[in-house]
Amino acid sequence: MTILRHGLFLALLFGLLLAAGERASVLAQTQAAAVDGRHPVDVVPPLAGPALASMPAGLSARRTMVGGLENGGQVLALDFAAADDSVQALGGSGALDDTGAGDQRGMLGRWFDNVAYWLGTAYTTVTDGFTPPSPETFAKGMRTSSPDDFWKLVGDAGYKLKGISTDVGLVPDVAFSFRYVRELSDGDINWLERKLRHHENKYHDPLSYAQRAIIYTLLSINTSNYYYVEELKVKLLPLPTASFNLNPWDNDLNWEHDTLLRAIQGQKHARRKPVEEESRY
Amino acid sequence: MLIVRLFCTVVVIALLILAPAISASADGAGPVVPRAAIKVLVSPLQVRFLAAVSEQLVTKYRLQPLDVSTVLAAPAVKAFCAGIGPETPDVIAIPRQMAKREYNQCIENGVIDIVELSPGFDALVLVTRRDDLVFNMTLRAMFFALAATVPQGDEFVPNAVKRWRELDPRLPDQEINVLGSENGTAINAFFKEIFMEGGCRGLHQFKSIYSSADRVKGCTALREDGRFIGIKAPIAINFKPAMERAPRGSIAVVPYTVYQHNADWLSLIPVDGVTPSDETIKSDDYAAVSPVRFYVKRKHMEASFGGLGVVTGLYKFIEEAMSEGAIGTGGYLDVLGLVVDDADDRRRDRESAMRLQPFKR
Repeated sequence: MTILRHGLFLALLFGLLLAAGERASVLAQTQAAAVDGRHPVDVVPPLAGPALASMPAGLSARRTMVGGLENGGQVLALDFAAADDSVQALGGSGALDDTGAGDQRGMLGRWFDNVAYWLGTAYTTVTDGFTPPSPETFAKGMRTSSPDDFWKLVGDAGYKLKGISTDVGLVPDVAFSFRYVRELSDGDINWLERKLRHHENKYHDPLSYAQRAIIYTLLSINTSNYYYVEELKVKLLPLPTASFNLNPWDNDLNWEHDTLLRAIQGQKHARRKPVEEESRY
Repeated sequence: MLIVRLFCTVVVIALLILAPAISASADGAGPVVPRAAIKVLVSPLQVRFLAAVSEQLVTKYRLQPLDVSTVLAAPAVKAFCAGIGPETPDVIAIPRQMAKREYNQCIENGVIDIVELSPGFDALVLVTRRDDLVFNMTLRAMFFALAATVPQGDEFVPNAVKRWRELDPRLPDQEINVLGSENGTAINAFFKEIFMEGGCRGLHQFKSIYSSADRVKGCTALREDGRFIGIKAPIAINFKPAMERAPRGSIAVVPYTVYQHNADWLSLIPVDGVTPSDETIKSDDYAAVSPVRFYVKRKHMEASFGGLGVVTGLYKFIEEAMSEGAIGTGGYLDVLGLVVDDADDRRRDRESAMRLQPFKR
C-alpha cells in the first residue's frame, strides 16, 4: 500500500514537473511566436489567469495546484485538461515545431498530463466527499449546505469551524479544524443517531461510510465518561484523514476560567487564586 | 515428600474449585436463593405490554407474575445499571434505546452482557377532532407555540403568541390550544424531547449555549398561561373527557395507540409533512417514533445461561416477549397498540434475543 501510494505520488509529481516543463516550453515558443508575428491568434494561454500566465514556469505548476484546491480541486483537473488542449492546439497545428521532436516530448508530456489528470480527478473525488468547495465558500456556506452534508453532521455533533490551515507547495495541504462548542443532550444524541441511520439508508458509498464513521467516533468518545474530542482536524493529504484531539472530561478549569465562571454566576467573592499563590499558604 | 506434594495438589484443586464461589460471595453478587418473581421497572407507556407478557408467563409456564414497578425511563435505567444482585431489577422496559452514557454506566458497575429486546415501536401523534381543520404541523411551530420563553433577536421574551397564524402564514387562523400528558410523565418527557427540543434545535440563540442542561431547560419549559393543557395520567382514560372539554380546534399529543382506539372521531395531523401510520412509524420517517426496548440482565439468569441464578424464568420471559404470539401481526402486543416490525426484522430480532446476544452501544 505504501509502495503504491509512493508510486502514485511520484507519478503525480513527475507529471507535474513535465507539465510545467511543457508549459515553459510552450510559453517560450508562444513568446517567440508573438515576437515573430507567427500565429498570434492560435496561441492559447497556458494557464487560466493572466497573472499566472506571466509567472515563471517552475512556479506555475504549484500555483495551479493551489488554485485547484482553492476551487475544490476541480480547477486542478480542468487546468490540466486546458493545458493538454493548449498543447494539442499548438502541437497539432505543427506551427511551432516542425521537427517532430516536440511532438515526441509532447506525447510523453500528454501521457503524464493524462496521468496527472486522472490522479487529480480521483483525488478530488475522494477529497470532495470530505472537503467543502473552497475554504471561502465553506466558511460562508455552512448554513446553506444540505441536511445530509458531512459538514452539517459535524455541526450537529457539537462542533464549529475554528480555522483553516493551508500549506502551499508541490503537495499542498488544507486542514479544517473544528472545536467542540456545544454539549449534546440525550435528545440531541438520539436525533443525530436517527439522522445517521437515515444517512446510512440513503448513501451506501465508501465515502459516506467514512463520513459516518467520523461522526460515530465523535459520538462514541464524547459520550464516554472520561474523554471528549476537543478538536477535530480533517486533513486532505496524503489521503483524507480525520484526527481527534482528546481531553479528559474532568479536566479542571484553570484559574482564569474559574474566576470568569464564578463572576458570571455572581459569586465574585469566591475568586480562586492561582495555584502558585495558593501553595504559599 | 510425596505426601507434601499430594497435599499441595489437593489444596490447589480445592482452591480452583472454590475460587469462583469465594469470589462471587466476596463481591456480593452471589445470590443465596433465587428470586421467584422477575423484577421489572417499566416506563408508564409500556405497562400494558408488560402486564400482557406477565399474564402469559403465568398461564403458559406457571411462573410467578412479573413484579412490575412503574418509573420514568431515566430512573429505570439508572436502577438497572446500578449493579448485579437480587435487589436490582432484572428487566427494564423503556420507550427508547439505552443511551451511550447509560450503557457506559452499566459497564462500569459490572452490568455486562445485557440483552436488548426490540419488540416494536410506539409513537406520539398529534390529533384533532374529525370535524376540525387538519393542517401540516412543524416541530418549529410547536416550539414557538408552547415554549414559556421564545428567542427574539438576542433576547428571550415570554411567549405571547395566541394564534397559529401568527407563527406561520401557512398555519390556520385559530387559537393555540394543545392538550398533552401532564408534566412528570414519560409521555410528557418524550413530547418535550421530540417536539420542544426538536423545534428549538438549530436556532442560533440556543446553539450558542454550551451546556446541554441549560439548553434543554430553555427549550422544554412549557408556557403556563393555559395554552398547554395537561392531561392527568393515565392518558388512555382521561384523554377523551379532556378533549371534550377543550375548545374547538384544539390539538392533542397522544400515544399512537390512543389514536387507534379513538380513530372514529379523531384525525391525524401530519408532522413536518409526514402523517403517522404503521409504515411511516416502522420506517422511522415519522419524527416522533419511540422504539420500545426491553433490557434483560444475563447475569441474573440461571447458571445454564451463563448467569448467577438471581432469578428464575428470565429466559422464558425473553422467549415469550419475542414470540410470534406476542409481537407477530395480530399478536397480543400488536392488539395492545404496539407497532410491530416486519416479519424479517422480527425473526432477526427474535434470533438475536434467543442467542442472548450482548447489547453494545
